[in-house]
Amino acid sequence: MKADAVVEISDLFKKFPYTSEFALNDLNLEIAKGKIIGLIGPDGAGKTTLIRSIIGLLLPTSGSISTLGLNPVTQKSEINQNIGYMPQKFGLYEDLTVIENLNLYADLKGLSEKDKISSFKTLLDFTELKEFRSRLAGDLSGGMKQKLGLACALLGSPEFLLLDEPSVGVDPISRRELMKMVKKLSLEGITILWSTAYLDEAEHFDTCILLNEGKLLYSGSPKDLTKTLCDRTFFVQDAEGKNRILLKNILKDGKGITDAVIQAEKVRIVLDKGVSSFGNLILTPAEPRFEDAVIDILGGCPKGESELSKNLIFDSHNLEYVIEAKALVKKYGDFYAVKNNTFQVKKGEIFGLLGPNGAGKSTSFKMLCGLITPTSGSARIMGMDIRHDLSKARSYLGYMAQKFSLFGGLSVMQNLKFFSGIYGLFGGEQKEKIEQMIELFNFETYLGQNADELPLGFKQRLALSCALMHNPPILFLDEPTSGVDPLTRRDFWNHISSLVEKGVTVMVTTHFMDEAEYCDRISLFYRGEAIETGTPIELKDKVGKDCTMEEAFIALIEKFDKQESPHNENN
Amino acid sequence: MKIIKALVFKEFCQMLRDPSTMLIAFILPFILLCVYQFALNLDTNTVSIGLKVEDNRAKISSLAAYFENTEYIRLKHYQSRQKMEKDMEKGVIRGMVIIPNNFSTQIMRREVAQIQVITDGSETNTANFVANYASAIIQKWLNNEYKYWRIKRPAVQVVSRFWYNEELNSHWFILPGALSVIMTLVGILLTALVISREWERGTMESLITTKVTKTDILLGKYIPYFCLGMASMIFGVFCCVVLFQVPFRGSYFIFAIVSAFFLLSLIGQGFLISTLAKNQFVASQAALIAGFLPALMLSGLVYPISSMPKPIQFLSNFISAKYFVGCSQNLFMAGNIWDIFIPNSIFMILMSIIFYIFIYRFTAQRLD
Amino acid sequence: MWNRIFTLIIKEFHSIWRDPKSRTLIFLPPLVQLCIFAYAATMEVQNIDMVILDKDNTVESRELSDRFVHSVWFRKIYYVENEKQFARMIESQKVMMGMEINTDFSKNLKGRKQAKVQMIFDGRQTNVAAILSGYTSAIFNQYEKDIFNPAYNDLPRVEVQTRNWFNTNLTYFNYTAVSLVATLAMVIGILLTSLSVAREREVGTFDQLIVSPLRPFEILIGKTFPPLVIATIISTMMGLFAVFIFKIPYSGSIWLFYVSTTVFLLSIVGIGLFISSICRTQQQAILGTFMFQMPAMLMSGYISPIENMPIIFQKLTFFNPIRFYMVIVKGLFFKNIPADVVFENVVPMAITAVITLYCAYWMFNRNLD
Repeated sequence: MKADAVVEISDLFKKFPYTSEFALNDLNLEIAKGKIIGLIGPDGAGKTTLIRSIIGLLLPTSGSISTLGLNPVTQKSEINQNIGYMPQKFGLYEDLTVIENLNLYADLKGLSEKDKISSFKTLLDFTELKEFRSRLAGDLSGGMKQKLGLACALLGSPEFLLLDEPSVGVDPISRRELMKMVKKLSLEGITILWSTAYLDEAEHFDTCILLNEGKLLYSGSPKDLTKTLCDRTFFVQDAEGKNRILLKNILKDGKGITDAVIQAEKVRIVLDKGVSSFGNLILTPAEPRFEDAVIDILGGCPKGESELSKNLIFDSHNLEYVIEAKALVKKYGDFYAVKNNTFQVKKGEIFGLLGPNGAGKSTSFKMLCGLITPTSGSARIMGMDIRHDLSKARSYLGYMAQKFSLFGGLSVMQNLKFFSGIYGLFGGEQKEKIEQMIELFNFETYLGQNADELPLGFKQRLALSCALMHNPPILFLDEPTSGVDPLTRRDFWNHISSLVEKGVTVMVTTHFMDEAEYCDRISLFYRGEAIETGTPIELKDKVGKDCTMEEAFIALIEKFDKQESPHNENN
Repeated sequence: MKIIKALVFKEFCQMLRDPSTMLIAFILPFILLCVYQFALNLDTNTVSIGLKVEDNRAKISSLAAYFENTEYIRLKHYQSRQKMEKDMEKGVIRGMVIIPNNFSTQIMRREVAQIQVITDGSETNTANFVANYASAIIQKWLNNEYKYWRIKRPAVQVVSRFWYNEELNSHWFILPGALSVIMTLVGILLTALVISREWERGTMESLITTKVTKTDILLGKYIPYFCLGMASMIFGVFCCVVLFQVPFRGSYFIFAIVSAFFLLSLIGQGFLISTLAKNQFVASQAALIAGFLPALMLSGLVYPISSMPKPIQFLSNFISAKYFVGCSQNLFMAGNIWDIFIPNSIFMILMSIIFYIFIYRFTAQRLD
Repeated sequence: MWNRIFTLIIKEFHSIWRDPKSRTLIFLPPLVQLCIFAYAATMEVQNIDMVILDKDNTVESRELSDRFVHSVWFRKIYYVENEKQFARMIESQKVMMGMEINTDFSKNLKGRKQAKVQMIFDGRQTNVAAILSGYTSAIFNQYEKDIFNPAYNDLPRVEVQTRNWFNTNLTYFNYTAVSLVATLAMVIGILLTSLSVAREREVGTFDQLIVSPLRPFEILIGKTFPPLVIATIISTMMGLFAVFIFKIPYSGSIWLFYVSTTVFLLSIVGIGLFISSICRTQQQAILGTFMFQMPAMLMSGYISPIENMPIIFQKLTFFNPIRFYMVIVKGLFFKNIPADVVFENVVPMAITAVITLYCAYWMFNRNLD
């Protein structure tokens, strides 16, 4: 075991019973002491499995792991003495208060009374939870829960901290604060393993371990990886601003391109190695991003045209505003989940509701779909008030739920039949439509499988196809790409773009800042209010400089907070 | 030690802050005890019987009066046999007594006079009582009306006494037994979901990465739920003795000890189900099917075990409620009978230990 | 509209059928329980142990003891020497009853004086004690008749001819098995429905249903129909089981059976859906159905007759569908009850069905938040 290695893994394989694929496939890597290591990969890549194997919660099928010089298989309890672990659901007891949770974990880790007092003081200050010590953990916001989870993991001064997706769904400010905290810890010599599905977090890590489908794609410094693409990334722009069409054409051709993706009003492309030009487009050099490098390793983005739009026909209509929300409010008791939300969406627009979990975007979204009754205010779909013509209004909607709520116990075919049936298709028409979807999305080999056994990408496709069964003019997508790998995400957005071209209006919610770039207009949600609405460029310009969506968001939130409570400015 | 204290404290907090726990531990038993007390009546002290008197002699009307005046029978007179049969079909009456028109003539002629009693066999419970009551009344009437033909007194006089429950008050028997069944329900239902809930919420995963050992986890759960179960049991006994006036002739202290053993075995069963089940849905089904229904049917509360077929009698040995029912009924009605307590207690302790061993074996320290 | 409902119904069937766990849960437990409990639940008291303290020890006293020894109901007879042992046997529940014959037993018999015999029954087994007392009377009556009969020749005799209609041999097993068919139908009906909405809410697929053009009324029908059909199939299975395997004769009309079963199951499904719609989680739904099932079973007339309950409880049972269904099932099996009697019992169940289904519908509507 190397002197400064905290974890050494050789030839690790892990296979779960009843499945045919390896969750971890031939991993060989090292984790160095005192660094912040990012474990990056989409859902299903094996991140949680790897973390659990390192601390001995799972046993390897074959291969060896050495953690802190100990064997997790035989010496798990010794390893427990020196680690801090924060699992995906934070490991908090929701019925206990903040201080009770801390007390519990302190006792479980064997802290003395004296140590407890000093640790609690430090941690509560560190996480800014001091004024919430008597609040039930279940009543905390997402960001606060994560901080509390981190605090509990830090009790006992572990030398190795493992955090499983600590930043998922959290508002960008909290995410930043979490990262700052972690960096401070690393200066004290603590090794931190932080797993995430967000590629844009990579730049904060000293090392990153890139996983996909159980395999190790890359292990090393993210900057080094990014640098390898330094002269392959460029921006292109369409004179008329029709960047989606530009993208479509680029991908249709596809030769020499590794990646092409929309970024605000421009299209970002990554050329293949050795290629220096593409058609007759003017290329402006761009800074490479980590994501570009990842796509490169994964073999490049999917090319070709989306078959979807070619084959689907939508009724045309002449409404200007397809979705309208006026002064929507939702109160739960005294708590305002959504305060006074007003906006309008034009036909053929992609409108995004952006914000962290708990900001009110899902609630607004659900009010527009008719899932939640507004406390006050009105919503119109295709010109119809949803309260009066709910059923008719709903027939114009296609809805793709969070985590793709499909009927997991039913087969793919049964799901397709169900959704087509309840949207009014039957007989020959239904059969035809289902066959069309099967062909478009390549469901052929999966028809008999249970929906919850599908790989994540196919689940997403199935959910999309079910939403499109009845050719709806409006699509509501609730966190449609959460957890999927970047290739699948691009594929998905290509389909969406082509649908939009045909006149479909799309409303999407997401907490993934970069996804905002795909939208025509965005509403930023924070604490129940839409604090800003506009095109991505407009929002970025408000902040002034050329920045990322996330930076823009943070700045806008800070501005908002200052406005809201000027007397608190000195705190 | 400190770890166990911390876990116990946590469990108490969770328990007390969850309204459904209080519902199961106190409200449910109260409701069930009330139902057992008021709705259930195994005495069958009144039966509805229909009477058709076809003999019009004056003397016979006194027979009708005898039927009328007894508190065990709700009498209904009929003129039409058809209507009486219909009412029996409907279940309005549970038996028919028909006195034929040549009844008194036959008696006077010293021939064998016949009275027809027809019972509703589909109500098998009451059918026996119908026949017995009818015969008894007819005998009584004969003895009093035909004094000079009074049947000689029997050669043997049988003096019957019912020890421990002189008046055969069925509630004295049902309620202590019901406590057993209700506690089984409470004990298993409360605990069967606890461990699987922690797995589903992800907190168990966090626990097993700290210094806790299996024993810590188990004791941290046993102790609070044991306390809650005892509280529930005490409440139940309070209801029985104070509210429902069931006498308690044994020692409360011994009852507490025997209840403790019983609860340990129940908690063990519940936690074992919770540990083995992957999720709450399966856990609750298993608790119902493997825990509660057998306790209801095979514990000896309603149906005597000795009358069951041998294989089922064998099965009943694995149900801890069976052992507690015996102790409970004795403590209420009889007193301290060591011959009964000791073997039953030993079985319950044995079961508790076996369950604990299995739980320990199956409590995972890993996710695999 | 009908197509939508039809699609939902098909989906519900698939959901229940495709999951092997729920498949076994539906079919296996009822049959197993039917077998075990039908055999276990018997009020026929048999295999009785008793203790005899014979202080006389003469031919006459032994003659009396033999009556018990040779009776089919009794299993083991213990003989003791003194009161202390006698009391101990009963106290420790080794035996359920005891007979004490005094030293002057045969002397009194021969001297034409009344001889006394003391019978002690264990009152702790209250229900059994009463029955034992009955057996004992029967044995003594027969004893009187056989030994002292000639003296009765001259007296008027009244013979009480007892016949048991509908279940001639008072076979307790038949009574239990048929009652269980009714009970288990209720258990399955509620099981299938009460979890359906709660589980879909927890998983998130309920949102999908709401967002679709399905109206709440259509969702209600879609969720009612499949459990109804499945529970009816299982009832049929259990009925067939009772008739062909347990050989219990069925005398009533099959049509009436299905009509009343359908109405009964509708009311049960209504109750299940109602519980399901007010519960947020599966755990609450399970608790809720349990809190309904237990009292419902106890107050169904199976264990003790409704007519002996206090008036308030009797009125409460109006809303307990199993009470009426029990009457119908027993009536159809044993009594061949005609349609009007069935109808009388179907109406309350139908009322309960309408009320609970409407409440479930109303809660669906409200609870979309």
